Parts: sequence; structure tokens; C-alpha cells
Amino acid sequence: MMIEKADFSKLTVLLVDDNAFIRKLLGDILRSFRVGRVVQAEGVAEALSHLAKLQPDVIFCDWLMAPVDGLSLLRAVRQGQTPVDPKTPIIMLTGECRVDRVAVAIADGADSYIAKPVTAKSLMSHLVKLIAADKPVHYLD
Amino acid sequence: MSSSSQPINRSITLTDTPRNRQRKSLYEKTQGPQAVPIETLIQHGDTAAKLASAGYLDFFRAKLPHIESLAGELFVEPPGNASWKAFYTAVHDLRSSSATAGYLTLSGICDSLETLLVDRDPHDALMRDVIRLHLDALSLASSASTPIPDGAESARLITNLRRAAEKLARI
Repeated sequence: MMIEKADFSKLTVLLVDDNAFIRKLLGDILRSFRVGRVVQAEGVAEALSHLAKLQPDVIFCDWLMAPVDGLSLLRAVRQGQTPVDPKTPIIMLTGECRVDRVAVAIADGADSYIAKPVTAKSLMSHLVKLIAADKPVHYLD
Repeated sequence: MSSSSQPINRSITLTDTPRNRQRKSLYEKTQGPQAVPIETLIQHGDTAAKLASAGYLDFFRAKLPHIESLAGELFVEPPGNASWKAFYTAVHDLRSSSATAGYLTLSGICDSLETLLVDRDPHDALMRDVIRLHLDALSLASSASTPIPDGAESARLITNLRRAAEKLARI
């Protein structure tokens, strides 16, 4: 499916990254894409506290974070241990671009994987890929 | 209503709530009359990224004391322990944020340091000095008073740091 236009104003995106600069930059880019709601979390614990209320349409999550890494959040969502649909799209962000690491993220259920440096173009291409996949997502009340 | 009936009522309420209410797919949610060409949105994104990156050096300089402090703790405990992991994580983080902000000299120095931490023997007598060299290079390259070396100067600096790292034994 070719996606040539998009209106992101109805989307809620959760951005999880422990680097304040990356959070600001990605948040600014997503807002410039006219994403309706961009919520930031500086770690997995804060992300978990947002999930029930937010019911995000997409989660962008950094991999290498301390004390809990992003893979733990990915696994928790996929295994139904959080109050969101286990199929919620998750895009992992990382400076690691080794094939074996990418394979781990994909095997654990990441929908997509962005190797930093992140650009507006790479962010958009991953969003478009998710839209084209056209997966239904469920609310968990 | 007796208090004993409350749990039953709650149970009925929960059972009646649709726990798996399907919502629109991402495609349905993002298409419509207000949709904007993807290329236009990317241009807006590039502008936003440039504006956000303008303040990166301040962010980087504010992070340096933390990196220095983590480095100071490295040699008080055996390699592989928490302080080494924390230092690696911090360097990795700065490498990717510097690259994202377009500061390739800083990301190149961080990359050399990250490779050093992964590939070289932490017990090597030169480890402390070579880490110090990288930290000094980061400080110099992000200094407010010293201009960041241009492409050629930057490449030379990073090559020399990598050569210094190669003097250490491999893991």
C-alpha cells in the first residue's frame, strides 16, 4: 500500500528515551508532523505509569537505558503485562545496528527498528511503514 | 444494598466492560481530508530537527561533567562491574545523540571510546590514559572557546584516537 499523505492529528505517540536531547528532538519532529499528542517518558517506569491513560497508537522506545532497558518494556507490552493492547506498534530506537541485536528486537516483537542517528525522514518512513501494515489495535479498558 | 453484594456487582461491571474494544487501524486514523503530503511533513520535520539541534552543544557540555565523574569511578572496581557499564551506556548515549544532532566530530570521538571499551582489555596499563585522551578530545571539541575542528582536522583527531586505542591488547 502506497502512503502519499497522512494526517497524524488523531494519533497519540509515547516517546521513551533517557536522553533529554533526543526526547526533545523527536518530540519536536513528531509535533512538526502534526501528531495530535506526543507524550515523553525518560524511562521505562515513567512509560509504564502513562500507558493505561494514554493508550498510545505508537510507542518509540530507546533500547539502551538504565536502570531498565527498552527491551524490557517491549517484552512487557507483548506479553500482556501492561494495560495496553499487546499489539500496540513499538518502534525501537538504538545506536546499535549490529544484525544480531536487530534480530533480538524483531524476535521480541518490535514492529520496526531505527538505528540512530534519527532523522525526520527515517522517523517518517517508519511511521509510513506502520500505517501501510494497517494493523488493528485494541483499547484495553 | 448490603456490603457483601458489592464484590459481585463489581465483578458484573468488569465482565460487562468490553476489554478488547477494537479501535481504528493506523491507516484509518491517518487518512482523510486533512492529510498532508508526506514530503511536506518531512520538510517540516527537517526544520524542527535543525532548530532543536541548535542547542545541542549546551546539552553536551552539561553532560561532560557526568561522564568525567563516571570515568573517575572506573578504576576503583573490577572491569565489568556497574561503573564500567554505566560509563559505556553514557558514552553510547552521547555518541548517538551527537550523531543525531549532526556533530560528527563528537560522535566520532565517542564511537572510538565506545569501541575501546568493547574491544580492548580493560586491565591494560594504558586503558586509563587512553580513556583520558578521549575525554580531553571531547572537552576540546565541545569547548565554547575552541572551535570544533573542521572535517580534515576532525578526521585526523579521530584517527589518532583510534590508533592510540589500538595500542591496547584486544579482549
